[in-house]
Amino acid sequence: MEGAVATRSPVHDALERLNPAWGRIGPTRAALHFGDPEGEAALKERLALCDTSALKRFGVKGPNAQRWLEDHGIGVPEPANTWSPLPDGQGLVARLGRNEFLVEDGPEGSVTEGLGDSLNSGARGIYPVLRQDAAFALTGGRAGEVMLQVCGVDFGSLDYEARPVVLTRVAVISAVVLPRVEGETRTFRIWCSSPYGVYLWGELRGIVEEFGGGVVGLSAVYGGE
Amino acid sequence: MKILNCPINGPRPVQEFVFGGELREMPDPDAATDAEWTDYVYNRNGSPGPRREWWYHLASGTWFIAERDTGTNDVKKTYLYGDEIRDEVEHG
Amino acid sequence: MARRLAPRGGEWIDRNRPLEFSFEGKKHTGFAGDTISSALWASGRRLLGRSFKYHRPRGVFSFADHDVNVMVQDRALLNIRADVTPLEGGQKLKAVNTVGGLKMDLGQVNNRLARFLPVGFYYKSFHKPAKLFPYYERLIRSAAGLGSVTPGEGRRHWGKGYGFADVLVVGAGPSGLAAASAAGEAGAKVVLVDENARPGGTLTYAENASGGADGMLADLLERIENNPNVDFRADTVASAHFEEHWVPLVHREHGMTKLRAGSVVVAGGAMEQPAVFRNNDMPGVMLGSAAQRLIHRYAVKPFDRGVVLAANSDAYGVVLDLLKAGVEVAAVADLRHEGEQSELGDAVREAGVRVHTGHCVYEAKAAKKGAGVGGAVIAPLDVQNNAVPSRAFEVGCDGICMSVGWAANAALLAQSGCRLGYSEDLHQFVPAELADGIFAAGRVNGVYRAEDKVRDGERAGTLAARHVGKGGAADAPAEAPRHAGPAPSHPYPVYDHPEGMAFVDLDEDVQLKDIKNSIQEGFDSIALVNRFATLGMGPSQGKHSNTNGIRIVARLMTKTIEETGTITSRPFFHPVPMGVLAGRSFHPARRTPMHRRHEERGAVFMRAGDWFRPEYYAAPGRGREEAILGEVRAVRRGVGLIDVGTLGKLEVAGPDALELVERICTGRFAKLKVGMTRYALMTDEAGTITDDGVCARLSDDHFYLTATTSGVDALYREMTRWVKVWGLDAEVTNYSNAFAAMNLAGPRSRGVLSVLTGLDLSEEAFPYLGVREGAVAGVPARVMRVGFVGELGYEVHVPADAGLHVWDAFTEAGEASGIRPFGVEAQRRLRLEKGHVIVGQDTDGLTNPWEANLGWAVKLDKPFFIGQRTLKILEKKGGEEEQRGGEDRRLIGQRTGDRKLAGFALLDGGEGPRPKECHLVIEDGEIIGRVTSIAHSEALGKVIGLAFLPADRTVGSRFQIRADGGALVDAEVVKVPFYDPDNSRQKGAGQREMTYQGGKA
Repeated sequence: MEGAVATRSPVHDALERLNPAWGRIGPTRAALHFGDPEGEAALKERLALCDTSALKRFGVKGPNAQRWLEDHGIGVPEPANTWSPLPDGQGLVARLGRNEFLVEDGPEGSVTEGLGDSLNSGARGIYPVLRQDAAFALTGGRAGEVMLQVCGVDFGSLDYEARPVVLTRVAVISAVVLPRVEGETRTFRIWCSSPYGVYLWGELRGIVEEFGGGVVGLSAVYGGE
Repeated sequence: MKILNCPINGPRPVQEFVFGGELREMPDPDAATDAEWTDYVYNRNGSPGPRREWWYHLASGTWFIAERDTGTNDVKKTYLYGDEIRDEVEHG
Repeated sequence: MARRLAPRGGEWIDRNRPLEFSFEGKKHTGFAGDTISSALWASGRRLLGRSFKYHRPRGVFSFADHDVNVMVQDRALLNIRADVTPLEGGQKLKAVNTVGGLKMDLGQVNNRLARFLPVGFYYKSFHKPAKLFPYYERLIRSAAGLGSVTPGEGRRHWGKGYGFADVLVVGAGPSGLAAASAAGEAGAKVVLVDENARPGGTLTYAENASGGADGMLADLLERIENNPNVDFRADTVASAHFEEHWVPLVHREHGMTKLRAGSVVVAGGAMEQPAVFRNNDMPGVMLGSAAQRLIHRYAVKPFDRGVVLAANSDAYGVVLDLLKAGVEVAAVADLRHEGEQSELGDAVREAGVRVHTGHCVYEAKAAKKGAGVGGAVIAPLDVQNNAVPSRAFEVGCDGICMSVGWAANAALLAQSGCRLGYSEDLHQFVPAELADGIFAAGRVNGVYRAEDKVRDGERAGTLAARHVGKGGAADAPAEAPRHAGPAPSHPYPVYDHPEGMAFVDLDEDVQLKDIKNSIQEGFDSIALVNRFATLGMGPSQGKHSNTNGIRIVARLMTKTIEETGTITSRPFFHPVPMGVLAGRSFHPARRTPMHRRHEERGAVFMRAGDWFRPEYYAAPGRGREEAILGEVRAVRRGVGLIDVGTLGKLEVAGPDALELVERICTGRFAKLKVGMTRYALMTDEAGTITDDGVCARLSDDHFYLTATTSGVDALYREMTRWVKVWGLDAEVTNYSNAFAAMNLAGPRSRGVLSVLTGLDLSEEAFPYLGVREGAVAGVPARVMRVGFVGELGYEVHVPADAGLHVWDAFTEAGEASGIRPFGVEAQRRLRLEKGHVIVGQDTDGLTNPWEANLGWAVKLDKPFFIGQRTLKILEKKGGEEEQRGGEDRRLIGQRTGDRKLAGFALLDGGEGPRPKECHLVIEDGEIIGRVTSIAHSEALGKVIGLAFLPADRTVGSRFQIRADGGALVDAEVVKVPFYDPDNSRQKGAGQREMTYQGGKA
């Protein structure tokens, strides 16, 4: 997938209307900030929504998927529906159900590079899952309240030590939610199919703004780039 | 709203699921008479009572079995369709 | 303010914040904290509303949202129940249901015509003569309804969120407060709700009855405030109870919280009930607790001179409260012959109030001036509780308080599946058997004494916490304290009057005699009376009327109350605005990656499921039909590009992938070569077509299966289930959303594609129905040669995030060839000219493959596929039908579904009325088929289509279609494909381009 072809986030046009400072993650344009990086870093603690679709991802499933990933130097969590961070601290690998894995690089990570090509040798019991996600990060002290408007899972009662991943419905569509708690700040990473991206972004953004929050760029969520 | 316990994802509201019909064994198409086959295709047991049913969790694509009493709507247990079940169904 | 009392401790109004508003055009002032009704009553207004049917004058009655006497409208805001809605500055209020204003309401005439408007009169009138019905309808429409809608008023969006709690406590009176404290102290996360603006329940208005209320309230509130586990929400109604303790909490301002609780304590209290006597609905006649709330919460004097109708000790508390508020209590009529023996009774007698034991109020008399009560007719009762009017006497008064009993506020208990039983000790329904996880405390549980209520609440709260695993083995009795002493309710406070107007349900103007008449007409159960007489059907849903209604029906039917039963309690407890239920109205929508280009190009979008698809591309100066024709011509003459990204796409891989495909599809795929595709048809076990698509073989154990947009999700589910059941070693992945797809179609398509790819596109290297993987516009792609629209064509699938890039590349590369985007409508016409079937449009829930002319795709001699066994039976039956023959063939055909899709063309050249899809084929007055697709074809110069017809209709035979308005349109059966019958164009016949016989693109 490398080469000259530029790819886009499903909500690229919505972001463009906000005049972002664009950067790139591989072939994909990514909005780094919208003109006020310091303000956004503060907003991120209160209530913010960020488009993370441009991050590189890789998906695989099957009875031998776990061993294959480990053979490629990617440790995966054991229990179903859990996640663990990649060594660089920014990427992550999530176990979706029992036998499916989602690997996501941070903005500067490169774990996913080349994994796709490695897989095309038709190995037994391993099936690639082409990841085409719209992905968002919802952060801040009030993020939980926003989630209560769109999702019926009781995130307050989860055991965060176990690093849970939740496959559920968000605003009526299927989504993967990865909730995190860091002190006062809560973060929800959300992935859905890219055709729903514009719809889900619109719903989340509307509620975020109603609750006094706003849109931030990748720099706020992942620290300086 | 009813809560169903997905064996992989845990308790969720029933809106997250699709009902897949009663767990039934398909008769051997070659051995069954036309009447037996038609009965399998069109007839269901509608009387209230405990049933084993297929249910599907949409967000994760998980098929599983729920033992539900269709009279009281109580779900006794849920589990994945696995070897034990296959044997049970085959041996009747 | 004529009736405002001096400031008092605990009042709910803030005298530092006066608010101005208008009512019926007149200016008024109230205070923040007032409700609309309390402010109006304080100003001296008593005529506050007109009743629904008879337009009788009405005022404050229950003052607890248990009646809707006072319904007002504030400009565009409707359905304001003034008794419980906070006053706001600037409100411009009008009473609803009046003709010409509240005072001069012309609807009053209904009151005089009352005897012509008996119960259920509308069932028996207004239908003859039939031609007057439109006039009646207008009349009824304007008479019915409460308020008028302002069209064009913008929609108000409410939030709607989820909530979670260990224990939900409903009602923040003494027992609710105690329950919440106990549960919170046991470590449970508690949500406590109360519909009032402040907590406290009876402790905020019934001081005397409770004794030492102030101290008790302060203590209970302190326990709650100091407990971080308890989240108290005022102005919040627990509106219903659904399975697994799913309770909608509706807040006046913030909308709905969908709360999931581990257990629920219902401490909703009891609702005071009226007595039934003539004119018991006049302004000034109110419940005792209503008067107490006016006094204690809003510092409003209910009336100057009053009569109290009593049957319990609460009534005597009312008397004392009235005296303290400066009201002259002219008389107490106590229904009980023994009167009140408690301290309260003594205090009333010591105050010098005349108490008539064994007496009732027989009639309320109107005041000489103004609307409202002017006197009470008090009559003695004989030992059977019948009034003796011959010995009645009148007492002048401008208010009558009724304190004769209570009904448990048990709606949530009933909805949760608890069984209620009637207690003869209390003359009230109480919980007899509670459902799992449900607890009851306080008056709703039959507990009336203040200290008992607190203990009962603590008991219930402890048990509720324990139910969710919180709290130790602390002792908590399972049973509530038993009621001792006289009953708080009178068993039958109902006194008939020969001149009627003794109301049981004030919402619906249901009189005592209406119930009698209903039973006489044969509606002889509470459920039937409820429906026929509309008892309990108004906005209050029987809160002030069901109890008396049940008692009356029981007595008239000579049954016990238990035998008579109750009226089913239904959500919601109080009316909930539709906007609150709608909340944010999520409407998921999917867009392809090329959506923006379609918008830029003037696409007119349609919805296919939740996808946006271009129906056609609007061209300046051209109408819809012309634009679509232009797109059709572009494809036939040159090259067109359509976004088919909504298509279902399934990846099937693994050692058993072929086996899976063979068992799911009707055709044979074992010999399908790698690099080729084949039409795939799927049926269910009944042999009905469920989906179709194309199966491409990418390697021995790797297939790429396309399916219809709307069918793929179900197909994916079924395939993954069968994989499990059959124990196959195969994996299915749903790539419908992950791949973008576009169709390049037309005689020039090969040329355009060759610019963007290094794949060998020659006929030998890439034949019709082939599939190739390679780069297109630099993006790894799957390319299939397809023939859906009947031209040389290529379907290109790429990962979604590269879709826009590839679309743009085609647009640029095809410019020289005149490439144009085309939409769904053009595609439908193109495929129709080929007679291609669309599953779901040309097939229905019963269509088998032979009926759709797809028998060629079915290989019954395969080892197994889903639907095979049934299709074998159907094939056999078809053979038997052939043998029967004769004139009955057509009828037989209809019974066994022996129909077939046939191509047809209209005979009138498209001049006459145009039939539509689903229009019926009529012969000799019988339905013999229907149209499934129809469109004008420029290539053929005719209107063509597909229709279900009896299987024996041959090419050339004629039939008639019934179009809109009943016109019968002539058509004849035509061979399909209509266009390019040899399919040479899609097969890319040789080097010579076929010429298209159409107009300019």
